[in-house]
Amino acid sequence: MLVKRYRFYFSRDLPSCFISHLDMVRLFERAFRRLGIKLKFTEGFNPHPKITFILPMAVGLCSPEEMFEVDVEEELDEKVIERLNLILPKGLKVLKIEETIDKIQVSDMYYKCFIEAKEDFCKLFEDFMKENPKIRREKEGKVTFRNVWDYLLSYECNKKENSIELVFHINVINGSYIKPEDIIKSFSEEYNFEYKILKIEREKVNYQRVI
Amino acid sequence: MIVKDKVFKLLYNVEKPGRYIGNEINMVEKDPKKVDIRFAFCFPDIYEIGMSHLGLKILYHLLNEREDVYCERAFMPWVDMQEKMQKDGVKLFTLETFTTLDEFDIIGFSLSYEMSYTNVLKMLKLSGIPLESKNRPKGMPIVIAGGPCTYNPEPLWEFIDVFVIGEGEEVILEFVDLFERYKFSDMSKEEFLLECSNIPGCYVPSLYDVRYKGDGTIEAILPKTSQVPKKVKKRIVKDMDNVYFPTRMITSLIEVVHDRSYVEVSRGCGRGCRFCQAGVIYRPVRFRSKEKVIEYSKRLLESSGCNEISLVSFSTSDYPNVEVLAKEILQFTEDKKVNISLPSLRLDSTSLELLKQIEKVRKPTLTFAPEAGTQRLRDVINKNIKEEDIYSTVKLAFERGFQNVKLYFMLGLPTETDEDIIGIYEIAKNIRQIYSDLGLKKRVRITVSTSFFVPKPHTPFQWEAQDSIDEMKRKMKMLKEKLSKIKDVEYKWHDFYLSKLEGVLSRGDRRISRVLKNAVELGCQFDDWGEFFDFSKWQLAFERANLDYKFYSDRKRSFDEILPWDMIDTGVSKEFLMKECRLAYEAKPTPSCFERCVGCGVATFKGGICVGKKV
Ligand code: SF4
Repeated sequence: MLVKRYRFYFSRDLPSCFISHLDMVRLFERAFRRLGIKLKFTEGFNPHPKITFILPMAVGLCSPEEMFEVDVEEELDEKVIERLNLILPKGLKVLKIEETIDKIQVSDMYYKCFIEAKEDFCKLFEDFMKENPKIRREKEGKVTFRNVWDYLLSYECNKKENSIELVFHINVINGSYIKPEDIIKSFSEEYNFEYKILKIEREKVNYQRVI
Repeated sequence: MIVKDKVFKLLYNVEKPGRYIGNEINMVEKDPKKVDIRFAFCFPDIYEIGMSHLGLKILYHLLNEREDVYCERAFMPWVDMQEKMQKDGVKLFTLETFTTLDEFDIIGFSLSYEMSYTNVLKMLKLSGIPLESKNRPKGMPIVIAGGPCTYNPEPLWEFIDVFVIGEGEEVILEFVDLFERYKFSDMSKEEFLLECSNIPGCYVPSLYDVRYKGDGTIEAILPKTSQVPKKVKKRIVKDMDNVYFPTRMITSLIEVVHDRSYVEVSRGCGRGCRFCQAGVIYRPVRFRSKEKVIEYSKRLLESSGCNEISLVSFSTSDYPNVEVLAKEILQFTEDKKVNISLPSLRLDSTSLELLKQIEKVRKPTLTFAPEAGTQRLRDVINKNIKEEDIYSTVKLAFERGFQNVKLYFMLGLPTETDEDIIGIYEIAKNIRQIYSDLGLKKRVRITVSTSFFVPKPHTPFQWEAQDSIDEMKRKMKMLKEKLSKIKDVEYKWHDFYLSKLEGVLSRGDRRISRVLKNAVELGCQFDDWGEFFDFSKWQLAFERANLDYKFYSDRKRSFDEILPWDMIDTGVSKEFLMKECRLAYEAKPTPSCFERCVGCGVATFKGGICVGKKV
């Protein structure tokens, strides 16, 4: 049986950015089914298609370019892009596809967060970032802490007209990283500072190709 | 700022924002300026529950088939979203165009369970729409309601302008036509409502007077004028093959409760369990032909891309040749890796075979609802399940590797004695014993769940008293203690207070509307979500309305008492219900419609099985 793996590049914006990772997988599965594209399924009792996102996307995250890989039992060409874009919900758009011949890993990425908060946000946030901040994580009752600066390469806090813009350059270490919204959250908890997220964008992801 | 922008500003800061974005597969998009009537279909629960409701999808698409109507949807926002909306001054909006509900012509609520009544009021409040019908003059939305709860519409009578009694797809277009005349003429709201009351299946509560006796029971229910019918008869679809059914169905982007495509294979149930309201109000049984079911399944799967199709019915086993149907569907679903599910299959050895072939049972669980622990009590309620059949099916299932058995029972049924309750324990014990006798290695799990009997309007038990809370507690404790002695058995029971409130609301009269209003003011909402439910608030709401909740739930009525829902006609005669009630006391079963017609009265509709239509 012919099985090919394709890499789909897509963008995600409002309102589809509010779909969870698992829902994204299901959404694309349904889209392929509607187009009658034969997906390759896993064997076993509860077969599911092999759709793998290089980087799972958090709820709310927008991005100009993300990718997933999918195994199909047929040959796909460029035409599939238009067919998919006709049926995908607003905010999701396939940009290009290519056959996957290599493996890629994420090396680092840039995030931009827009938030609504009081004037002195940047000043206090800078204080916070100087203090070797930590992010608290709770998984199945176990609490762990991660040092922000273990993952963060740089950041910027800029005051805009109606919002504050935060830019983060984040390092990915063995596939693991920290989320900018968690940094902001831990700041707000420690400083008792109110804020409202307006938008989060993963502006750019740098990949390494592994053969 | 327009509503949509305001809403999106909140979404990063609430749980599950995907509930509020709309944009789903097959959502209908129209230019609101190009339609005459804007209809907001409202579901008084969260998105994930509302979107698994088939009735919503049928009416949504049916209304949108009309070019002059745009039907949009609104759900109850979760508490975190409500808070943020109120803080930022955002009124409740629809998911299609982010228009606030107060801008709509018609607001239609779907009433599936009594416990959502407070949410109905809350949704009106969140929209800034006056709660009482009399405070909404022409120009403000007309509020209508449909769904099974309208068979006793009285608790909501002040708030709803028109109740649709029966199957919505039969009535709604006639209602919309009349509304169109009203909107574009100088017809007054009073004139409009009067004309509504003449559409069969429409109940306009403000056109009726209810008089009470000194003891609180009803003296008379009278139409205010001679132009208003004394009784409102339900409307039903006569022929399932000639009724509208959407095949490009709106399919959500986020996971909902029953996340799959559905095709309705039949409506109604002919078995006649005496506690069951659905069994009465959806009478008679009507089947959809195999050809239609298959055609719809194919088209639904193509348009949704879902990986599961569910055959919806009250009792799938009653569908003639359900195996043949399932196998034909299997022919085109198998290679697409689409599952078929038959949610309401009665379990016996034949259906077990069928299940094995067609359903990819992930967590093999065997479910039975004997409802009562002894044959006597099962005869009282007319539940035709024999204990031997349970045991033989369970044995077969265990041998095939099933490890979970779930059993559903009701406590507090009419004529129940402690012996009946011990019968529940005996059944669980015997099932555990069958498992031991097989000498299997794997673990077994037997779950016994009990709910409390809630007497429902239009059933043979509508006159019965519900157990008091103390009695419920006693019975639950007794059973719990007994069951704790059996290994691998887990016992789950339904909250007493919830069952009590359900008991009160289902048989409530017009005076309950004040209680509901008080309850909402005291902060009640999402009552069947447990986490917010607070019976003491409800007690206070009753006190403030000068009413005793026990009057509604714990009191036995005599056959000649006028019941609050007596102006609603389900087609099933009161004489039949009384006869069934007497037979219940004698523990005499009544045959199902499939064996022979027992003359319930619904034959006047000339539809379905009463006229011998078997697919
Ligand atoms: S009229 Fe007869 S066949 Fe029809 S629903 Fe009633 S009992 Fe069943």
